[in-house]
Amino acid sequence: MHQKQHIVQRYEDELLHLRSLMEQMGGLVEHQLSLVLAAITENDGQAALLAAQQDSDVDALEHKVETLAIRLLALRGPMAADLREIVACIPMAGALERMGDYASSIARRLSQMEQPIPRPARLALSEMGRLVLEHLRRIMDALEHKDADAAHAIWAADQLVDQYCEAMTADSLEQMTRHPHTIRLHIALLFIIRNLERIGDHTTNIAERVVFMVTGSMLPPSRPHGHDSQHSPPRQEPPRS
Amino acid sequence: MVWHLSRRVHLSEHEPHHRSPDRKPTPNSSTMLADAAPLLVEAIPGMALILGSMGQILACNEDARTHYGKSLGALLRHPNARDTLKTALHAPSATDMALPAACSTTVRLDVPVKCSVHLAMRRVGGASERDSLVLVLLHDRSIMQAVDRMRADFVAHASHELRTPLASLSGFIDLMREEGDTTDPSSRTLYLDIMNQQATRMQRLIDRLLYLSQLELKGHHRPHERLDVDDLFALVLGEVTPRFHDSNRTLTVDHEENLALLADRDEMVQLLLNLIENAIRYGTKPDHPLHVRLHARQATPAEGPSPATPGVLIMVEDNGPGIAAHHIPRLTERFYRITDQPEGSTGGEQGTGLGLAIVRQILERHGGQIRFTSTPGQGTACLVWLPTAPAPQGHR
Repeated sequence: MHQKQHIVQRYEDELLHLRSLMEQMGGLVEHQLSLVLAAITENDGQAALLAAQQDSDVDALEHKVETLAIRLLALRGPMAADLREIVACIPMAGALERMGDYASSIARRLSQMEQPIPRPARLALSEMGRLVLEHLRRIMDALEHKDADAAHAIWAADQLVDQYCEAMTADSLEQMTRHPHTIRLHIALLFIIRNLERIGDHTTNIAERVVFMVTGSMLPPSRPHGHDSQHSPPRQEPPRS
Repeated sequence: MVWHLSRRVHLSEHEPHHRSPDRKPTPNSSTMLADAAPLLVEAIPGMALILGSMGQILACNEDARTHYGKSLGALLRHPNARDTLKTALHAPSATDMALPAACSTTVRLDVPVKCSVHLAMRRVGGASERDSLVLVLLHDRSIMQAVDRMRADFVAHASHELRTPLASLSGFIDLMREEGDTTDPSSRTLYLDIMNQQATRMQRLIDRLLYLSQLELKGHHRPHERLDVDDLFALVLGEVTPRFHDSNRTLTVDHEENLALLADRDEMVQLLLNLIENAIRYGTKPDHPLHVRLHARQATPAEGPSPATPGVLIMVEDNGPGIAAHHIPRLTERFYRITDQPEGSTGGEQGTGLGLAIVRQILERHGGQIRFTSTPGQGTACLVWLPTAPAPQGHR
């Protein structure tokens, strides 16, 4: 009897540990992106440096999550919701790790900039970054509360990020044509915009996994994207099992 | 309270303990603590919670829940909070009587509303690290942080945005000085008009920047007042009617019956005024009558941020020239101005670029949303979603 409860206790501890690692990873990437935003908005070189340094911590956490998830799968034979959660953690950790990479890539690019970003672009970038960070935060909350509806809403809301990306890309291209001497600056900006957009994409990957984890069903493979549905975002009801 | 606590501890002596079955049945301090934790935390005046060794929330008092609610997760997974938790868990206590050292940190969150929280943690009980509990006290430092940032933001934005009108103003002053008495009266009137316009613009810019900063300071508190759409529209109408005396402009107002919002009255009036102001400013085409429609209805579940929350949809529509699709995502950005507007459409007056930023800031505080739809050549619609006020008891 005691032995059996002991095993259950260990299993639950390990599951708790896995959740804790995922939260920690989410918190770290959120912080990294926050630092990147500070680097953009306040021209804070120190923040950019710090953000780039955190990359290795995120990588280490991904490794831990993967190891623990595989261990749980191999030794504990989890079932149903637990199984879905543990399986989902592996790609979710992967997505967070990619986000961390993009964030530190932006940070590195910022510290290599030869001239400060002009004010209008700075305001626009921080706006887009805030949107991406907000989605990341909401998806981490949805993961913590196992909230499929919230995850679905974020999945659909990423098109705002895509639209923002398109608008800013168009603006940068126009500036380059008009003022060829700013091409270097705008190419750097384009990379940053693109990286932010990729972070947004990974948010939707996590959203898909959260919906799967909670409901057991997958979201449709294609997501409303960019300008397709500008006027009224079609919102499918979240699939329920 | 004392009685409750002792009863609780008493119970745990007799019940087989599910938390740690492999331990001796006699209660030790940590199991007693784990059981009494929710009651103890609730009794603490101020925001407090208890975390398990993995950082999971075991108990959280009403104060912390109402103040931070959904932000608690984000606060606690922040690396600063995680590091401090780790330090607190490892903090040794010199003797059985001495308490482990307290650790503290400050966590800043940027979204959705900027906030800054001071966390103080201390390990309580627990024979091993795994059984340890950590008591966390939270202190909100957002206002202090917001005041600092407000000052910095204000200086940065004001110094930049005031430069252009100021340059124009001093240019005309120089011009009039040089010309002295030789300026003919009509030019003089023209100069003074422009100077007046620039001064008004600077005034408006400062007003709006200050208003925006004040909104940011209030950003943490969701309004709880009930506001009838009927009353709101009556107030707005009173304010904007003078703007529609021109025979070329009409305003129609209609709404469904019995709509009520959970919203601050003054801010809602400001929000709708800004939207209507924009409709007039950017919707007016020469030789084309402008129709503005203010409309409210119950929102469908798909229109809100989450299908579970009932909401009201308020729309401000105009039949102006519309907005090109690539501007739409960026409309609420601070100082974003549409630069390719047809000449003369704005009546020669440049906006502050803050009207919609204010709208968005107001909506953020209310948990609302805004969306724009526009067909170039046909008009623009601003759709504002706001949460419905719960029905008052014994009324309607």
